[in-house]
Amino acid sequence: MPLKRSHYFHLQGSGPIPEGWDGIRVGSETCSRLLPTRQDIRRISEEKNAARLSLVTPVAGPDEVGDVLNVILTSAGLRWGEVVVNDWGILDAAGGLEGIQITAGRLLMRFRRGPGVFDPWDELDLFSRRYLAWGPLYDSPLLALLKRKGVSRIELDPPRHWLPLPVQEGFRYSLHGDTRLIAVSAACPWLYDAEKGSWNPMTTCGCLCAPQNDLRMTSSVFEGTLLLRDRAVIERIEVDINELDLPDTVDRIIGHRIS
Amino acid sequence: MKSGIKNPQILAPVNALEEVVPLLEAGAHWLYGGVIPREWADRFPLTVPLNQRTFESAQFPSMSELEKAIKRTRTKGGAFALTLNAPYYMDEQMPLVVELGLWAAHTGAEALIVADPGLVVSLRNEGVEIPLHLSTMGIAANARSVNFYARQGITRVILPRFLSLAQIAALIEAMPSVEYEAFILVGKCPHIEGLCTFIHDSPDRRWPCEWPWDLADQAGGHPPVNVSRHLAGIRESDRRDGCGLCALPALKAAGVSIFKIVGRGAPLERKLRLVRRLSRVMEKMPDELDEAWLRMCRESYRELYGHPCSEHNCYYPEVGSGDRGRKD
Repeated sequence: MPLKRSHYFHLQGSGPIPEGWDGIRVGSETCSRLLPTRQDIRRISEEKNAARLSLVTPVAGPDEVGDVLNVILTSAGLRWGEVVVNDWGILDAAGGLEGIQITAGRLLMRFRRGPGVFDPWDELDLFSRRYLAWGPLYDSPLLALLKRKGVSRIELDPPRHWLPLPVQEGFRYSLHGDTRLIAVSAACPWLYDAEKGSWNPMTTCGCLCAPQNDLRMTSSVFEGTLLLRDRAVIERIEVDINELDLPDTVDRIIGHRIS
Repeated sequence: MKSGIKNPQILAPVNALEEVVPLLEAGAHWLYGGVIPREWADRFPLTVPLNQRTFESAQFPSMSELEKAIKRTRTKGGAFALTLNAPYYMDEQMPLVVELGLWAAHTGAEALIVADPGLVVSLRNEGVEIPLHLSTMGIAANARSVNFYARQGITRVILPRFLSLAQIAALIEAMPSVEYEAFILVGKCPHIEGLCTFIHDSPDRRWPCEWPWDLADQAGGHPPVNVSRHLAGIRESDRRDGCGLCALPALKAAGVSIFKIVGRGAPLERKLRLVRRLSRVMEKMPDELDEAWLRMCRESYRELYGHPCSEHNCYYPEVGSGDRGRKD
């Protein structure tokens, strides 16, 4: 019998929510400009009437960390399931806050997923395969540190070759079901001013970085297609969750696409 | 400590014993390098890295040569930092990495460059007494992150490449109790290094971040011009020609105490050229930016790399970016 899993749709921008999703994620793993305000969160919570709401937060610069923490703090009383953290400073500050469940995001975990990493798969021994598939989940001191910071859930970036998840006591998992994260750009491509030859940090970008605005990246030296979404390079993937041998601890699936 | 009151030092890459003395004599004070011990190499491929360089020519050829290099650096008045900066290590690897850290401390290394918070905890639990420098792979981009890492035992933070000068100054002002190191020459990665999983397995190949990517919107149409030009700029620039020379006064004033040159695995001649140039430029560093300084930095860039600087090679494009269109 298939396991009951919650499906979380990542709402970026103001797009519609497809049928069949029972949780909503707001915010961004990679861009602090996509951080919602408390009012946004309240509105989305009421309008969408979602069963659960997650706030996703990115790596924060010195001038951004306060905003991220403010949204976390001032929204603590609202109905939601978790705060997804991708920055050790945010984790350190929010990890002990009462009433907030903390999830370690896939950027905090730093899975290795780039093209080329998995090329010699057939030549690798089991240990090396584990390293590439789920390496951080075999880093016990790291996991112990996460636990001490109040983390009880980890987001999984899907590997190119699936291996059974290691059993780690005390953690549950959310699996990104349709994207693999490859890299995050140091300077936002959307803020580049081609005329001036500079990146304007004061530009209002309009936060158009929703999935429907993804740009396709293709290359003669790479067989697949990558996508550019806000500052992130991602790979869209097709995974049949029911085909995977997922343990009970993987009880949430995260989706990003519109259709 | 906020170290703006003293002259910053140069940190240079090294991967062979015979490079040590020339690099120190050229002006470097700190050297950093790595090694792949035989017992590691016998077991793991290069895609399972001990440090962030995944090609062999970037490593010292043997433990014995590394040991001599560490001791020679110390004898000559320099300091050596060993790179153990993979983003994570599995439990079976951790004892070997900790043992290597212990060996480095006993051999005379001044510091370990680390990125895995799990390794930091393990080193301290095993009583490895040596300063720990947080690799840019660790991504300490705000004072709260630095504070977290400092409490785990980090004494120096290598600043993420994406921070602006204003952000660096704000970070150091908020958390002045550790040292800060900033990238100055070579290796201007287009991605945040700690959040990039493109593999860089051969110094002879163009790396995936530099591949000729074609962009299209989802209907197959043209992408926005600025995004397209951004990627084209990365492709057309050589990321090895990275530079932050003109920002040196601002970095020093902010409290950055170490200026870093990238390039483990590069020929010694290139390393020496970079160290000598940075050393010479630092001698002329004014307290504040002025036009003469910017002009000298642009000339230095052209002499180093053979072409004018561009925003895509620039570590701190907010300094003097308006001058790049000039044909001087």
